[in-house]
Parts: sequence; C-alpha cells; structure tokens
Amino acid sequence: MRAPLLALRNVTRAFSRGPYELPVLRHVSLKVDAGQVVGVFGQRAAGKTTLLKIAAGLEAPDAGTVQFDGRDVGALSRREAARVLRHEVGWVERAGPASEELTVFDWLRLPLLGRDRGEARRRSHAALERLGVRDCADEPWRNLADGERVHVALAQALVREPRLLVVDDPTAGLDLIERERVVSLLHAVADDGVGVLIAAPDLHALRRADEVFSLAGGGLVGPPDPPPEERGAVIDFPGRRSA
Amino acid sequence: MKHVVLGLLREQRGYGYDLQQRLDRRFGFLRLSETAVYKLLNRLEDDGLIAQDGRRPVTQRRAAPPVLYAITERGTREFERWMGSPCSRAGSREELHVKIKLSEPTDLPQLIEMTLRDEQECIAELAALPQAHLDQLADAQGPWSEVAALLVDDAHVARLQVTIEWLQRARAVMQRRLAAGTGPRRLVR
Repeated sequence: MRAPLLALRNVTRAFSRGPYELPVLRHVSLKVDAGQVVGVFGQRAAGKTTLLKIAAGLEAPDAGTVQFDGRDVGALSRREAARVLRHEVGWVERAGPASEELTVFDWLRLPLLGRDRGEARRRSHAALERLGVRDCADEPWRNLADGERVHVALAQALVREPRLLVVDDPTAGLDLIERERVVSLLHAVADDGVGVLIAAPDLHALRRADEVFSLAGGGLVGPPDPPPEERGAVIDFPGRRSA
Repeated sequence: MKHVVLGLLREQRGYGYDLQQRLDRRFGFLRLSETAVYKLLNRLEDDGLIAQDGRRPVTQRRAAPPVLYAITERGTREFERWMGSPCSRAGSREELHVKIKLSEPTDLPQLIEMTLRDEQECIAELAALPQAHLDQLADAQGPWSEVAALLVDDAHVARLQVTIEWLQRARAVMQRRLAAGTGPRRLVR
C-alpha cells in the first residue's frame, strides 16, 4: 500500500512559559493523501497553527513523527529537509512578504530564485492567472484588498508546484461568495493531485473537505467510530476514560 | 422526562406543586405542564421509582393533603443508569443539557465523554449535509438559485459550528474542574 503523502503520528508539542508547560498538541495523528482535502477546525488558540507548522516541517514536534511521502522528516539531513520544504510543501503565507512594498510578481518569483528567469516568469504568471489575480501582478502587497491577498498568497504557495499545500485560515475576512471561491480553488488544486491541509476557525471553510477534524484541548476529534485501521485521529485528553 | 423528575427528587424531596415549580425554573425549555408532572409522578410511583414520604398537614378540611415524594433506591439506580447512558440520537443535545444541569462532580468523566461523542456526531452531520452545487458561483451574475442554496447551507454549517464551539468550551470547563478536583490540594495558611 502506498504511504500517505503526509502522516503525523502521535505528535505532541508543548510550550514552556517559565515554570509552566502549556500542552498544545497531545498525541495527534493525522494523514493527508494526494488529492485529498483535510480540514481541521479549531477555535482561537486551539493549536491550529502549531499543527500546520509541524505538518509543513516548519517546526519539529516534541514527540511523535512526521512522515512526508513515507520518509521521516525528522530523520532527513538538513539539506534534504530544506529541499522538501522548499519544493514539495506549499505554505500559504497570508501575512504576505516581509516588505509590503514588494510587488506581487516579485514575491511570487522569490521561491523560484536560482531557476531559469523565463520559467520563473511563466510560472508566476500562470499561478496568478489560475487564481484570477493576474491584474495584481505589478501592485505592491500593501495595495491589495483582503480577498486579493488570499488569492495572491495561494498563488505564491502554488508557484512552487508543491505536492502538499498547507493553509492557515484561508477565508478570514472574506464574504460568503469570496469564501466559496477560495474553497473551490483549494478543491481544484486537490483535483490536480495535491494534498491540501486546511486549518480554520470557520467551519464553512472546511465544509467541503474530504475529512474534517476538530482540535480542542490538544486532541483531534473526528467522526464517530471509524474502524481502527482507518482511524485518522487519536483522541487523548484529561478526563477521557480509557476504553 | 421521567429522569428529570428523578434527578430533582435525588437532589431534594418535594411536593408535587413544589416539583412543578422547580421544573419550571430550571427546565422551562422542556415546557412540562402541571398535569403532565402529576401524571409523571403517579407513573413513577407505580413503577416503584419514587415513593410517598409523608404528607403535609393541612388546615383546610376538605382539601387533600399534599404528598411529599422521595426517590427510592430503585429510582436512584435508574437515574444513575440514565446519567451514564449515551444520549439518544434524536434530541441528544437537549438531553445532554438536562444531564449537565442535574449532574454532580462525580458525573464529570461521563459528561466529558458525552460532549466528545456529540462533537463527533456534529462532524458526521457536517459530512452528511447535502453539498450545494456551486458550479457557476465564480460568476458574480450566476444563477440566484445557487446563491440561495449557499445561504441555506451556510445556516446549517453555522449552527453546527456554534454547537461544536459550545461542546468544546463545556468540555474544557469540565476537564479543568476534574483536574482541580483530583490534583493535590493547595495548602491554605
């Protein structure tokens, strides 16, 4: 059987605050297959962004494993891990570029530095075209409206042609119609074989996902009683009686 | 419904009228009429779940003296069985609300489990909602029928989101309470 594109197993993460330890994720297991959209619902400070950063390889868990395409990300050399991060995982950065003065086109080309300039240009334009924001190409980030920023951020992640797209709160600040367009786009990306992991405090953004989990108290909750071998989530929190 | 009355009697014995008042105050949303309460009391007594525990002395001659009811051992066992049983699917949230109101700290582990099960059901409900067809939504002048379908879908999802958020909040509060109750006691000087 083919390994899932992304597999988190028993991932645990806590933050230290002086003498205290704040558990954020407890024994979280989750997988995303190629072409699948997986959604994680969580309220503010539920640990969504931490989960996504770990899934995207931007942060390491305290315990547990993250496998990308069957390979343990924690065991990769730094060089290999950087390659996976740069080329295979698309992290959607809604905060935009470090400088708000950077034009959309230049921001899109950044991950393609070192490649053929013509190809970088072609891919950047193609990504903007696909997301319907080609007209924004020469605009600096600061001039963009909220809806445009979401689309441009998605284009910036897609320009690398990643195999996994990791998206944090893609529909914040959007109206109902814009929200549906963004969700449709994410599904269109998945239809091309990309695995899509979305976390959001808005259930509407996850409404059409293939699988939905909710994150609270550090544990993931999924639909009831999946057979153990198909189980996407391990639930563990204080007060839960052992089965 | 009978378990609500059993729960109230477990807290404290009561006369029919007094029980009806307590029910109204705490479980007004169940909309139980006075007649329904008395019928329920008779049935519970017939089933041996509650028993008469004396009568209030009356001053008026002709009026029947009010009966004081108390829960029996069998009634307590039945209440505890219900408290620990999963909420029935239909109207389960209302049943969960009733259980929370009648609960004691010892019931927390099973209530936590119930909020979890309910949250799982919400996620299953989300998956089971019929998908609105939104093929032409990208066009601002697309058919109104699609936008209308989306609005209704939006309402269903919003309801599920509010429920999940409440279940998570409720669980967090119960877990904190449970952890505080079982942890080492703080020394007070």
